[in-house]
Amino acid sequence: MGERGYRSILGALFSVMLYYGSGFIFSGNGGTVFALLIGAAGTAAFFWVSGFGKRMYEAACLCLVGAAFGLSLFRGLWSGWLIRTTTEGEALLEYCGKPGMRLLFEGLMILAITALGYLLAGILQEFWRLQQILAAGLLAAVVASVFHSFPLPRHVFACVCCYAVMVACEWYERVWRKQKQSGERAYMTWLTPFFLLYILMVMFAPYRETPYDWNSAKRLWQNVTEGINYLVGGLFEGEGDFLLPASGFSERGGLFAGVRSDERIMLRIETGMTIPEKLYLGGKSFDTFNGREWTKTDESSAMDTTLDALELLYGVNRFDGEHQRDYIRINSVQVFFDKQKSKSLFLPGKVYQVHNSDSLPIYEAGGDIELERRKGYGFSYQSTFFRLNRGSEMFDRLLRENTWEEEPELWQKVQKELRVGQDFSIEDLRERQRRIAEVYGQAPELSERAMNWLTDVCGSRGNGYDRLKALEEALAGLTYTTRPGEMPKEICTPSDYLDYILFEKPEGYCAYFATAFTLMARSLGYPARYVQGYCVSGNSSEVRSGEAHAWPEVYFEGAGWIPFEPTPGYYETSYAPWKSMEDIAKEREEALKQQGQNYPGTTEEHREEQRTDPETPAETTETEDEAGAGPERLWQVAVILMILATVGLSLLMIELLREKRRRSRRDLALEYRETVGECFALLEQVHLGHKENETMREYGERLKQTKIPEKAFAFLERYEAAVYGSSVPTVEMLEQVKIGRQALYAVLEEEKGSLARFYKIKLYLYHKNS
Amino acid sequence: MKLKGWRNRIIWGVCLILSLVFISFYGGAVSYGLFFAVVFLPVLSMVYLALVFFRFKIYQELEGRNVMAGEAVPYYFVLQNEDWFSFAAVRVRMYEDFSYVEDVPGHREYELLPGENFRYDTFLVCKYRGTYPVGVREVTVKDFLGLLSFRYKLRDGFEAIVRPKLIRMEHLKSLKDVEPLFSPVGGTAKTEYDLSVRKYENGDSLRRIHWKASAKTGELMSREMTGEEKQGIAILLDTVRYESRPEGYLALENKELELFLALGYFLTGRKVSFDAFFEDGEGKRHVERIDSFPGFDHLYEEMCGLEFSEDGNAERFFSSVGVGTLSGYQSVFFVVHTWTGWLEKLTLQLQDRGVQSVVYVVTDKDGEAYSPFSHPGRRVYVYSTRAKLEEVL
Repeated sequence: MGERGYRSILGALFSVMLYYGSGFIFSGNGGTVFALLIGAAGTAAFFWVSGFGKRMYEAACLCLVGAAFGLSLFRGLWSGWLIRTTTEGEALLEYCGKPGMRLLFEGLMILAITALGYLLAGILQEFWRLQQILAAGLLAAVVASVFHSFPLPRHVFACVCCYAVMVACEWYERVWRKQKQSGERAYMTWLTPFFLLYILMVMFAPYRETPYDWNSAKRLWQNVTEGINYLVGGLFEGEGDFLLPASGFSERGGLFAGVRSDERIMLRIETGMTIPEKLYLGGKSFDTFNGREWTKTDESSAMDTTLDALELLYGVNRFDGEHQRDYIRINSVQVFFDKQKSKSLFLPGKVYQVHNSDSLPIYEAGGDIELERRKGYGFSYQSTFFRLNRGSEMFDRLLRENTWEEEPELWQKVQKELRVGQDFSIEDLRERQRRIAEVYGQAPELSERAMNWLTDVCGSRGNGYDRLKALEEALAGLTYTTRPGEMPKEICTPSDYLDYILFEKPEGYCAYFATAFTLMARSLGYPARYVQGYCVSGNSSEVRSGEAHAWPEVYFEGAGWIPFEPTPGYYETSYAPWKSMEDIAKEREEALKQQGQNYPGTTEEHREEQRTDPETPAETTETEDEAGAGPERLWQVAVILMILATVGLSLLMIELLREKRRRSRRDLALEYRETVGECFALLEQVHLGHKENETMREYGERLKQTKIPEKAFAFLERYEAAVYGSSVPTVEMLEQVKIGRQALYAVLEEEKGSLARFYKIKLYLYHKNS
Repeated sequence: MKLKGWRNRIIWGVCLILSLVFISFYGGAVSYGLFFAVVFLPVLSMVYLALVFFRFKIYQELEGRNVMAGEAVPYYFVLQNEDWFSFAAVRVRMYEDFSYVEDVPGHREYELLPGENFRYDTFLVCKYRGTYPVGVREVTVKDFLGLLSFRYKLRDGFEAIVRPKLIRMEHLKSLKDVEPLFSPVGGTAKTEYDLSVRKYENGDSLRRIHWKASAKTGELMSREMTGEEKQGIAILLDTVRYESRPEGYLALENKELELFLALGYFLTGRKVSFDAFFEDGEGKRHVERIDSFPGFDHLYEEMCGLEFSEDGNAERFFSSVGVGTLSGYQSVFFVVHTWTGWLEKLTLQLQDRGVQSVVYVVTDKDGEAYSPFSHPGRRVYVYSTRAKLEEVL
């Protein structure tokens, strides 16, 4: 039962795999799944239960029954089975039409493949090594199919996996030392339900077309490691500030003795359009300075950020609405948190739309946009903002000359244009202006020295904006250092601080200069705030911790918060104004005049514009016809089979040589026992095996009644004595057994014909010890 | 050996890592299928083990549930597969604390196909008196992939009721000096009052009280018996449970009972009557007069069911018996676990009254420590819980 059952199970597996392989080669489709599975299962069941698997013609009949059963089930026409068959049979007879031919072909193919599967299982059962090679080869082919995008049907893949597991299981069973009463094939047969369950589990396992995204795992890892870094940094380096050493950015507005430059990537950014100037991503703003540290008292939840953008747009439209694009342009930036861990969103100025990846609510707190909780790796958000044409004549003129006037209609129009999703009245804007003036406009008391210094720097400038520019330039002329050292403890007011930075130690890093500018801007009558965040190159995609920065922002009515850059080293490179449309038009005219051509599209520049869009999809090659791929696949399969056959034959040769060597080294007693074992095996092949509880004498008597020559089993008598008595095998006894073996080989050849050679090899390799 | 057992798991682990790498770079049904094919293997193993856990049957039988300690009793167990799938490997482990199975299979694993069974006939020996589980203790089942194994305690085990071992002695080596005392005609108690009186001791008969002397002295005084020699032997058994865990008390109590019964049987065989004193589990004192084998059999049955008590107190028990009662015997045997000051005092008092004491201390401590307590009027013998009384007694 074990032999037949196991062979049937393997046969069913191979049938499925062969069917799909052949179906793929010949017809390009997978064929009928259930028909073949049920057909193969039905065949296996018949073999198993009936024990009719010994003769090939009986096997063929059973295959036919099984296949027909499967086909009819698939067709799903239980009640109309006969009609359908009859109809198609008639069609076949009368028309030789395609449906009938297809049915016939499919049926014949199923028969042939099921029989082939059973035969293959039989062969493989006799040669264990081949099973191992086949399993390894099939797994390798499955893996290779991924690399070559070979569309392998899931049921075939599941069968391959199951077969590999079965081979591994049998392999393990063969070396497993335990008390057994049956062979491994019976054992494997009775494990079939679990293998079937395994096939189903693998067949219906979920999958994705794309490789697995480990972001969630990466996120978790990042959060854990960053948490440790923040903790360690804050404890040992950050003077109690846990964020500063790890990220460069701090939620506190302290002026430290020094900062370190780091290359850790905190954020990744993608801008909608390339920005040539520096991009300032503000994280947190502050309003009150006590001489040593900035704090934030403004916790207003008003939509300050959006109002700021609206105010700018309103101011620009009022000032010079026709040339809006010369002052501001819309851009977007997407920010991804990498090693950053913060609840502040780092945004450029003049933001009017923000969307985050986790759809978390965002809050405004005194002009800063924050989350409820800190987020880390994997979090992202996108914002739309106005890019300012800072450094351009036009924008400077806006800041210099713009005045505040209320035009409600324009205000409404601007809101409609921006579509911020909320209506703000002009009173809201007024209220905001009042609040800003109150919170951010408190001018510090300057010492006489500082006042003189400020007057010297700004005095000659008539316009407020020019004075601020002069101040910016003056501070940018001081010395930049990341290690300014600890501030004296006596400094405890803004006035003390300004005296210190201007006269005692005119050096520091960005925070020092930003602080000085903010305080003095207020002294000049302008509301100003201190902002911390990151400053990166506009075309950069990574924001590193060393790019953390602090800068001042000054409030202009009709323009909102405008950033300044007083930090030495940053001042020179912070602005990259774009040309106005008028200037561009003038340049084009100049160019045309120089080239002496009228058509604007013939200049080199315009030819460049008119070049083929590189994004235009290239002409695609013709899709290969599936039928054309058939011969190639056939060739591939043939190559694989040849390789497998070569490897198999090589291994077989090796096994034979090893066995030959082993046989040459065995002693007499072992040779005698093994030769006797071979004789018993041969007798079993000719259906004259030794029965249980039968003595050797009885066995010999029984054999005498058959057509087996007596010399074939003459060794039994002396064998009995050797087993149960004390006699030791002699050379003579061995010779007798060998003669018996030869005689039995002859009987086997007579009975099996050419297949006898097959049995001889099997016996040679898998002798039995009696 | 350990690495060999982990081989399949290591291979599985490597396959899992490779499949993880695979799905990190390639999508599609096959790459994810390979990953799940590896992941589902231990799931399949768990399902298989769960089924085996619920379906595997063991039948075991002991010939007669009432066995005697130390006696090899025929025992068999059958591992049975009554199901429709193979049991890849089943291993059993026997109880070894209080019993053992001869020629135990040990670490052998058994494969059982549907309908197959494996029967193992052997003998089981219970070491100690008591009621405790015997036979198969645990079952370990392994899956067919060699990935997982599951060990569980057998749900349907059975207990054996073990009776104390009865050691039949021809001679008592420990008592060769005093053996004449055990002759049926030797040793009689005094029957007449002596002129001497002594203080009343607990257990003295009221008739022995010398009222006149008591009135004179102001305290109860008893007459000393004289005349014929004292007769009779008393055996006192300490039934206090000194440990709470069975591993601690079973062996000790078993040895005490063995000793007690061996003495009793020896005396009964010599047709020497004796009184057996012991307390039961509820603290009630028993005195059994044994003068024949039927009587001894009754005592034996009582000993089979005797419960030692954690609340018991040896001093209290022996005091309740009293010097007065014990003084009436020729010899008194004590079977105890500890040698204490009060026992020493008691035996000295008995010695003063001409009563021979023999103390058997059952303990695993060094016996040399007790040798100073032995002298002609009082013998102290120490036996460990593992001692073979047939050889040392």
